[in-house]
Amino acid sequence: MSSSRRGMSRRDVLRYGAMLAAASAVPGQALAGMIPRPSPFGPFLAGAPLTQRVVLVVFGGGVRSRETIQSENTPNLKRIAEAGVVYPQTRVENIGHYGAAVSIFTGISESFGIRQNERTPHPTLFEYIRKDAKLSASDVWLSTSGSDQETNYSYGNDPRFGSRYGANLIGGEGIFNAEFREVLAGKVGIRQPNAEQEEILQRLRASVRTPRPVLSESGVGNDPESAARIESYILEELRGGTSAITGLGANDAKAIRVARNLLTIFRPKLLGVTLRNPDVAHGSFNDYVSVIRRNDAELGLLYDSIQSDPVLSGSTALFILPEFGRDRDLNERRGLDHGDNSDELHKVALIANGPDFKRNKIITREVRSIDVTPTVAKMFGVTAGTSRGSALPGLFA
Amino acid sequence: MAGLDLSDRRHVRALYLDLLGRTPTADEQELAPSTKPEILTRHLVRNREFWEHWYEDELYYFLLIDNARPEDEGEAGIPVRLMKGELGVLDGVRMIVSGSAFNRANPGNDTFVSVVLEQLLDMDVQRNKVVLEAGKKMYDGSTSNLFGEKGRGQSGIVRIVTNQDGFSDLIARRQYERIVGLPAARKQGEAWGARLREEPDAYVELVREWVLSDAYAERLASLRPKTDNQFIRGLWVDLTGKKPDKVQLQRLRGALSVLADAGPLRSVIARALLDAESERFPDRGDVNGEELIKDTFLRYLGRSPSPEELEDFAIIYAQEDTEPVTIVRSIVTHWEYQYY
Repeated sequence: MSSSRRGMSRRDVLRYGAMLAAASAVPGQALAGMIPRPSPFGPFLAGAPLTQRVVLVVFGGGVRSRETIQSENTPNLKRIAEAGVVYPQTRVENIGHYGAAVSIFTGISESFGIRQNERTPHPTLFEYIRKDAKLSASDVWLSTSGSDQETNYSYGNDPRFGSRYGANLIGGEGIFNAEFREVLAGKVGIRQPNAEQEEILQRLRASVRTPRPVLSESGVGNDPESAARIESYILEELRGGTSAITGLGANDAKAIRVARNLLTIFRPKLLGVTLRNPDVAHGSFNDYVSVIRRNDAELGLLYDSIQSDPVLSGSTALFILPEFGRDRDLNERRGLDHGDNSDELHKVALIANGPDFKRNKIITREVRSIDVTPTVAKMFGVTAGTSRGSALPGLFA
Repeated sequence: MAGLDLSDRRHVRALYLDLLGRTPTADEQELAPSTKPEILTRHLVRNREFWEHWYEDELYYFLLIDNARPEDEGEAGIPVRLMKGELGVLDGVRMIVSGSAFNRANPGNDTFVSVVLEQLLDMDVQRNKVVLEAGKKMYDGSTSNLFGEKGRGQSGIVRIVTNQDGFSDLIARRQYERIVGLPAARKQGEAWGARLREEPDAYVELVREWVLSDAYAERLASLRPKTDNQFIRGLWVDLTGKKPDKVQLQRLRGALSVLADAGPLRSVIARALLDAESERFPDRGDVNGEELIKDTFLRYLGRSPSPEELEDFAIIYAQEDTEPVTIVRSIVTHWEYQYY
């Protein structure tokens, strides 16, 4: 077949469609074998020469340093920390889960209460990066532990930004669970698509001529090709083992597992992960520690998958921090709340690991959780204009 | 502008989606052209399904869904009482916000009062702190003054707030936007709100006026996104002829709510349902390709394919390996199917 399509009629194009279909839209391939879309933005981030993508993990639910890097509970966090920079005096202001996590993503100490369900009025890191670095929706992802409230992390209500610059968000527990699979597939199960019919399907879809409505207030702006890839990913994930993850801390485990798969398939430039399950601490210290250990194990797998991937290794930066700590003393239920205003609550450990960062370094100077967003934005060569944080000191090699 | 046209399949689909939250069955679609818009709309707004759809959307507005959902009261419940005319729509909303589910979902004086003021009066509570504080005192058991009326406790707050004209005006504007898909001007909302206050069963007449208006017909000329509820219920009716049960609806809607872009997952759901129903579709040898393509566009998009679309689809179908169900799959997983 000629390498040029010039001079071919539409009939000819359709007849030879099998050879012209975008390979990345073909489902049914193993996750690891799905072909990543080449980045149109070149190999380098403006402010960090070696880094090509950033993973930001909010190790949330309220986690004290005493049970993580100051303990034997988190060997994987420790080795990630030893290969990077640790800020053990990272100050947090908000001590409600939602507000504290949003503060990390906006770079502003937000004033939300624990149950509020509104979007922040400020832009998030995802919006800054997508708008000013001109990234598509499939380049910016957020994997959450799964509550409805967490979908609000994707974007805020600042009219200069909004949903069209939001992160592609997926709440693992909400989709990849046994109940949803049962409703979806029942006795039939999730079928493996026929590759030939799938190729025909994409050609048929592309033949529908209706002009797409202009995005107004809804939609993060996935183009049809990206939407098809995400559809394939969801199908593969549903057929895979993520839905079978159960037990204490399962939601967080799913969020990290989904993040690992998203990195493999979509190679996003920016990937956020938010965890929540350590909040079982209110009722049980032992369960809290168990969840931390499980999350550490999953983060270890995530880190190892990055290091063993020829594309991701040597080009991926990782930021990991809790949204706040927990009280100094146990409560009457032998659990840990988060309301005593102690240093154990307001100071957490931030770990930064990446090819442009120093190694095996501890920076004892006090920094803030709201410093993460301006730092990551700077790495992308953009300014988080509304943020009130500052770039993290002593980070870069 | 001609107004609602029941011989236009898109108009009929839109009417059912807006009033009942689902697409018409094949029989309903076929019968529609034989009646008049005035008659069909009167039939639909007196339907139990109309009120159940209203009730579901109201619960979603107040986030009383899934585990926060009020218990189903069956024949004694709000939708049935509305259908029978025992309640007007204003009282229906009062009952929702006076119920234990609303109370559980909004615990504490700050949360409860803020939600009531914001969602029933569209008030910015941060700019009306005096009102907020008065409401909080009332919540805590003190006799307090709110909007010039004395009251005490949560019931006092709800009573006083729902006595304000702004309460009925906001309901009217919200419902207009929900059904017609266009914003309503404040003045329009005030006029409709006044009617709702004067005549408890004015709501169904208002809805009929809205869908029989030129503005509604004009809006139908452009595409409007389906809500998750409309998508799920419409998909089930389109592919199975039946409605999803409550468990199916809850789980599917829950899954769609945890994605920033639900489009790809909606396509996955459509695929899965098609796979489960695939035996209902004809084999390649039993169907004329061109008729299949036209029927598929009409059935699921409410329109005929353009000449170019028909030609492209026919070329692709002519390849021996294209199954009829793939034609259907291409339409129900296309982004246009997520609009109406």
